[in-house]
Amino acid sequence: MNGIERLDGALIKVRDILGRPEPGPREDPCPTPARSRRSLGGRDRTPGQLELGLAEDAPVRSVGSASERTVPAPTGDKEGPVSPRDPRHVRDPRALPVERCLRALGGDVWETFEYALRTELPVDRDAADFAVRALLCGPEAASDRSLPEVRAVRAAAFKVRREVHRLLGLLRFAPDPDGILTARCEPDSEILDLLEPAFRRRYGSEPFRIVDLRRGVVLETGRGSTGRGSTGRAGLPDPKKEVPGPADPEPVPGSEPDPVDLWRAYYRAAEDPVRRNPRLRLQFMPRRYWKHLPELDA
Amino acid sequence: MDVSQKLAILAAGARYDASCASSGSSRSSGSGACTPSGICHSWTGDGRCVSLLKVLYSNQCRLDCTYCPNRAGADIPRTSFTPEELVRITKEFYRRNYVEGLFLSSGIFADPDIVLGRLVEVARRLRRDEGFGGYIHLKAIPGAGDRALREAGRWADRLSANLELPTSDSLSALAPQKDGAEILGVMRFLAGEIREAGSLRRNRPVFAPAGQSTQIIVGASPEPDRTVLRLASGLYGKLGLRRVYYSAFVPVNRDPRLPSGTPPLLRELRLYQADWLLRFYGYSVDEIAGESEPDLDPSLDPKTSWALRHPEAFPVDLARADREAILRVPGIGITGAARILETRKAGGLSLDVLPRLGIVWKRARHFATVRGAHAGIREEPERLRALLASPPPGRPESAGTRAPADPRLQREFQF
Ligand code: SF4
Repeated sequence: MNGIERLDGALIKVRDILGRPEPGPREDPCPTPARSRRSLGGRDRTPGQLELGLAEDAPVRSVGSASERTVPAPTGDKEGPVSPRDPRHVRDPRALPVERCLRALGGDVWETFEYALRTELPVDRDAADFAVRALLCGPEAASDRSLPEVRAVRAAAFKVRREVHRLLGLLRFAPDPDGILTARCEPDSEILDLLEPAFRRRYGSEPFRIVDLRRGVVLETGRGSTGRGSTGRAGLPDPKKEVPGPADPEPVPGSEPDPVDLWRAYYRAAEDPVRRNPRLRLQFMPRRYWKHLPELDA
Repeated sequence: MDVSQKLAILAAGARYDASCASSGSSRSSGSGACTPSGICHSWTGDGRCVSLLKVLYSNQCRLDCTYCPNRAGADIPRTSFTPEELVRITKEFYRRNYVEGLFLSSGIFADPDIVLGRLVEVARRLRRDEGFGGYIHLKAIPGAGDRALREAGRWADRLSANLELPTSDSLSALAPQKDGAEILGVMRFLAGEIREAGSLRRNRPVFAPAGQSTQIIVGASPEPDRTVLRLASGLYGKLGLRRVYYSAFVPVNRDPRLPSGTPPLLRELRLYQADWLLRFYGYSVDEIAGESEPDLDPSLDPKTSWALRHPEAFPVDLARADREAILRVPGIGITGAARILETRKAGGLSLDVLPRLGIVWKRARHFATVRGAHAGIREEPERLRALLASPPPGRPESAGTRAPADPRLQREFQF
């Protein structure tokens, strides 16, 4: 199951929970008086769906910014907009109205839900409960950390935000043999598209490529569009066959100094030996990131 | 000397400048952009963040500040970059995502206007010729004229003039060629320009959008922490500084005027913690380091120390207290306080939930209750004190060196 199928699966689960003909013996979603309860609808109606706008068949292209930044969907037998995470994947139209409702709650509800499902943690059921809770009780419920599903989903989303922030600093770009600036990484979560905007600002119109070796996925930009593909495609290195790493040409004697060597020289000189504290460095920069850092793999 | 050797020497010469931030600017151009929150690109083996290419333009210096590795009398290899070299390295490091930009300082190898002119030339070439949109921090050289300083602020995101020592007496003793009033004059000038540029009047030229910072060396001179913090508080309040950096004195030179021994890294850490309390938690210097106890307690973080000295302010009932009171509870930071308030608003706050809110509950539990329920040992202050004593992160506790206390009154800077 790819990340988009997983996201859509969780959204459809939300739809199914809210679409049960009766609340039945389910636990009251808003048990404490301070939590505002939204109408669940009458017993003979589909509870929640009319009030929350889930019952209507939403037009498939109305998912806010979701399809704005993507390349056209590949032709296939599925209908619907392509995913902002990976345009090779087509969204399930049943998931889209739920997404729209979660986005409409404002705050960080949608982002937290969506980020949590980018991790490899088993939080799918928690994410569905989190979304149901937020839709029925209001966005404050999505911040109520007394609820186990809120804690689980928020902890997972935090992992994603922290990894994005770390990799904005720790990605190392170098020209690949085809001349395109390329960075390789093995992130714990599916985050390539979250990294892209910052590097677009850094590189302007210059194309770049970020390779997720763990998932065998490449994000590639050029002339305003973004494409995604597997690493085995179009001459890109297959992580299972090739040793990853930047491919700088061998330095010619007497030529410009190699930037990697300069960086290593700088990194060594910037350390104050009397303050040596490698444990503190490990806290900030866990060893799993070192493989792709030229200053540390030497 | 090749450029790699220069880089090693001029980076080592700049590493005692504690400033590393790349935050506070949202500049962008065709080739690069600043991230307002700043980004760390690596961490050196001393645990410090690498955000900028931090180098000296030159380590040649006419001055002979006792504490400085680049002082005129130091027997070290001397070298300087050319603007071309610096532009090339900065661009290449930025392009490879090694750094957010450039931090450029220098020894005083010529008249201050000329020295600052060189730094400005590098910044101008990066911005104007290369379209560089990354972060640039330039040293505002004391003694440089208003015109040169204005030009520096035009191209740089942040400027800094380092006071280095916390009183004019110490400056006279350890850096006799430096003039504290002149350094403060530069800082005052920058504050005025930054304020003007930040005003809402249109067509104001950009001037150092990330503001100014400074550095104070601690441990080389005898002032207590209270003096250092009073100075910092004044700089934040009156001159609008974005950051005051504290740098533990590292004895790189032999000089009878200087203390010897290990750098006071623990003191430096406690000063940063106190600085944080001044800026974000609403504490005053008198509360953190009062006249009767002018030094921070090395064994406790200053917030815990204050809490233990003020039992009357605790316990705080987290179910009712306002944000300000919650922030006074040791172990609860700004994020933790926000989570407590959110959970409280949603009706879910209880003693059981608190350990799961990402706060340091094993510390906070001694100072907080939830509607009367609590789980600490506040009634046993001595045991509590021993329990809460904290070593700094990543290393065993060590107080480090300290200049012998000077009974004479130290003249504080006036501004
Ligand atoms: S002026 Fe600066 S570089 Fe020169 S000796 Fe003093 S501190 Fe060092």
